[in-house]
Amino acid sequence: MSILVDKNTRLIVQGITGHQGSFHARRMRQDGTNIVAGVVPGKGGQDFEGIEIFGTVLEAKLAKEANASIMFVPPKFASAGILEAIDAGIEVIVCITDGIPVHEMMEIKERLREEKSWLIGPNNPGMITPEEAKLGIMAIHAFKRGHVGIATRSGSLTYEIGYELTRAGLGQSTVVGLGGDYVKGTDFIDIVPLFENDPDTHLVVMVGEIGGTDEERTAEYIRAKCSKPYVAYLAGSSAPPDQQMGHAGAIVSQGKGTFQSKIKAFEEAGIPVAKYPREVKDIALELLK
Amino acid sequence: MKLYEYQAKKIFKDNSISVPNGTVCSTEKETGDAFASVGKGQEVILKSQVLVGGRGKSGGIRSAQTVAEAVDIFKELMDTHIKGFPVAKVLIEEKAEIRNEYYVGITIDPTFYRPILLISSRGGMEVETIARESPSALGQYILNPRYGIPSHEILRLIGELGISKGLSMPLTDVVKKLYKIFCNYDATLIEINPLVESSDGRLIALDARLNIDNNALFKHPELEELKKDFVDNKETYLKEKGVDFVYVGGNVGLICAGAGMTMATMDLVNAMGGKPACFCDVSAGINPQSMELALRTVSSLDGIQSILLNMFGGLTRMDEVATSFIAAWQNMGGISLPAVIRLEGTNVEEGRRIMKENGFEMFTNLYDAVQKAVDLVR
Repeated sequence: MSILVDKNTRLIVQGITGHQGSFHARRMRQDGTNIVAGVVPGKGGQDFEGIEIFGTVLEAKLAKEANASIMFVPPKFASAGILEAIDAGIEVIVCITDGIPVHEMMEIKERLREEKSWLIGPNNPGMITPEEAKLGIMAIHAFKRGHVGIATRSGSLTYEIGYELTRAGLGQSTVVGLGGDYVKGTDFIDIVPLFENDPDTHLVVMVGEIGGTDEERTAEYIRAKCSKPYVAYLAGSSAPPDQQMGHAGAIVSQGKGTFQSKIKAFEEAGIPVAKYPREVKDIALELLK
Repeated sequence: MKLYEYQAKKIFKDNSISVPNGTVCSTEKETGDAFASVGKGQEVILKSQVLVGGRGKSGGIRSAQTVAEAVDIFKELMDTHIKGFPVAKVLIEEKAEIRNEYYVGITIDPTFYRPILLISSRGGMEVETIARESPSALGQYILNPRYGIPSHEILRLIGELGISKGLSMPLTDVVKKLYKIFCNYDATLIEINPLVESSDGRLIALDARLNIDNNALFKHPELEELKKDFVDNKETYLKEKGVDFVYVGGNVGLICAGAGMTMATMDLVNAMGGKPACFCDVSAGINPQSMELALRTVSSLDGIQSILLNMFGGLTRMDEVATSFIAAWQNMGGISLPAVIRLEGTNVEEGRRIMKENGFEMFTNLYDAVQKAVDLVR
């Protein structure tokens, strides 16, 4: 078991003939992901290294019984690509694109409230269930099969922390990069119930950062509803207020989303917070004893 | 992208929101002319155009009674920095007769990811101060972007805040116009603080804040023109070249890859007794050019005493990072600051060999590297 993606995932790659799309389609296939179709508007009927290309997501889904999609689409067209995948009824949609306008993401968020699709991202490295399916751009050697679920707002820290867990013998059930944007398809609070209900996940690591209120709300949810062990790490203790630190989501604005308020929320929920990235594995090892 | 007050006011005025009569000045001559045309010989207000809040308390807003005084104050304001930010221009405005001050703002709610309208009967204070000190004076409404802001919700807030009935319609009108700008300009924040009721009963935007979503700038070629007036656009320039940079002001200069990793490295430097000088993320593209740009920027910061390069390679190969770093270093003829290097991940052994060949010790352990970079500034 795992969450959202596994060996039964039948993946569409939107934008498979582009520079990024072709590169990562090849890598995902090498890494064992079952890519069943590509989608490129106007290129229906062609093929990409043995993968059939369709003009629309719906055609690809119907012909190949696809249940997931990942897109490598430039920012100007990314929200159209996401909406197309939602309209086609794709269950799991991953959008790697960095730079989608936030007003477009608000529109998408409204659609997601009404539909059963999951959108992971944007502006993220994707997600992986090690040794089963990778819907993303990460190098797989940092990860291995196991029982730790990871959800993270930072791609680079996913590696740092995932690699340390792997080296300490703690493999992962599923690793989900939620993304660095202010408005995302999926937050910690959406993903935590999936990990909580996944029998293969024994412990959950959350890698958060300053900005937004997701960590606070999720801590409260965990306190009230969850029984598995959770470990958190938070980046941004030294960031000055009102300055955006790379990620659009990582900004303390109008007094909301401070490091202190997140630490306090985790502490009140009894969730240990690692002071340094490497402490995540130490705490996880201790909790899983 | 944050707009200057005078730029935001131009957009407000174009959308029929009243602003004080005013002229933005870059020279003493313009200031003299503005004193005559705006003040008509009466007292005028001089406002520093700077992209940081709280300028009033920092002496960035002054008044002048005579043309000579106006010119002197203009020179003084142009020479000062406010909280480290340079003053671009000075806006000269007529003095408003104020009966009441209000706050109106629209931003994106961080919990529901919908636009949120904020209205307060206590204008002039920072909104977080109002929220903390007198929450009952702050009304909020989170709206569904599909339906916009219904008038009855605005009227409800006005009623609950005890704002005089006579202002109901004009205030509703201002809110509707603000929301229109918020949507049309892809804003992340639009704010009037204070929105004043003048002695003749009109609502005037005394100040104006408008922040545009950087990701949406491609939709707004009309805003390109405004960029010419930005005095300190180093961060914008670097961003366009693939270096995401924010100056923070310490002594350890960082060059990292990935926003989360960069923040975490800043936190570590801080926790281990140093002070990070900047946020500097080169993950958009690591090559000798971006590395050189980052190195030049970081090494020229005031008070910098050591440089820390920290990366974890997933798809990024550490041998390529090492090659880019060495090429940049050599192209600059070396740097007189100590550099601490921590690379880990894909092709790290080859990266270590390249670094060693060029005389650089390399760490793979993050904590040893940060400790070393911090020790060097003591």
